[in-house]
Amino acid sequence: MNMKSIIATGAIALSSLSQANAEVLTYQGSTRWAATLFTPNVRTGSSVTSYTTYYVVETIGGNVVSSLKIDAWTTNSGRFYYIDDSFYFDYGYYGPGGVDIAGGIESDDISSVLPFRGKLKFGKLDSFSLYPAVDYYRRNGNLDITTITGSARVNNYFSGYLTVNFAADAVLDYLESRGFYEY
Amino acid sequence: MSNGSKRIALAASAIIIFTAGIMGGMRMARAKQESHASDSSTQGSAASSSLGSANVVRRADDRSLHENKKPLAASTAETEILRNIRDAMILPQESRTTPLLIALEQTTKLPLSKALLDELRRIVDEGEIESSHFVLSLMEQREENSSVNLLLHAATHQNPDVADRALFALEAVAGTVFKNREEATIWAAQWKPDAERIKLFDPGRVNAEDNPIASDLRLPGPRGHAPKDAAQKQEEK
Repeated sequence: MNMKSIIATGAIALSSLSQANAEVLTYQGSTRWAATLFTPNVRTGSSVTSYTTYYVVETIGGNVVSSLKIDAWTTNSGRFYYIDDSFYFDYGYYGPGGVDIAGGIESDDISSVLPFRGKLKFGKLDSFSLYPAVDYYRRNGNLDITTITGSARVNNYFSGYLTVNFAADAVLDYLESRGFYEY
Repeated sequence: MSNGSKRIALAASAIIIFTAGIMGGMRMARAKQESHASDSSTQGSAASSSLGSANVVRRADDRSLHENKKPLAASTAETEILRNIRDAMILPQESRTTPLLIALEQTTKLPLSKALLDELRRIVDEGEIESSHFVLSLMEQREENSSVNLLLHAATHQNPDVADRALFALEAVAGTVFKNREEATIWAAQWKPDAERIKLFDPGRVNAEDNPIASDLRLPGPRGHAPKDAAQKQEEK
């Protein structure tokens, strides 16, 4: 066996080892949004709404490598879910012994990072609470988000040594079994 | 005045002061009781209805029980927020949702008193989707027996949109999926609030002095540099 094949075999072994350590934690919670909608010189209105939110987060060695968010809500015309395709979730450790966690969320069309604080349980992020954040919506210049707030806790049913897609599919199957459709 | 008369006068004045102290204390206690009673009676007639409900479990570890003993400032805030909720509730259906939800968001800063719970339960019972779902979201964010009880109550709502949202919220608190409400009820009977989560979800903690993130953010310059610089200066001295 030459040197190149040894290096290649080592790389594959390392890669499969790190894959085996990938863990997906799905956080289930609520988010509440308050927004101001305005058209200059015409009208200003406000709106408040709430979602059930699933944050699917894959970590390797404590580092977030992949994440996905699903919002679900009900209106008079039906039950819907939305898969956030540009979602990022990351966090770091603070405080004495590194037991405090703070992080940020980048969400679809929200221009800034939404900060959150969390708590560890058995060495893993167990739950988190969003800081009330003020922002604007990139896709619509006439929409100001005045507050986004909420919280989430780990849901063991959708967590384990999986891939993000597998866990997300499980969440979507579950939502569809309860009458939700993609928005 | 002789020494004997002086002693008698001293003893008599001590007795008078002692008696007056006791009477004053009794009067204060009675005044407190009366004001508490009048508070309860003004906080809505619906208050009494939930007491008899089988779902309401009062436990010593429930945060709302302890926080009811907060000073006057907390109750003033509660009165104002409850008034805002009630004012919004009497608006016509088409214009009430936003002011009602804005007022409801303010309740995150309040302890979950009986008066507040009754108001929230009334909104859930009414079954309007946006406001009832908003209340269930607020209850989900709390880590209390009384909030879980309200979620269990909502899970029996005749409107499946409300009942299913309540089941979602119970699942979020439990960290699992329930097949039905019965499974959630069995879980709720054994569930205990997590002290760490109570602290985490408390909105008051965002600005608290003991929050390492908030205090770091208040420092000038890049995070962490300022305290290190200060420590180095101390060492140099």
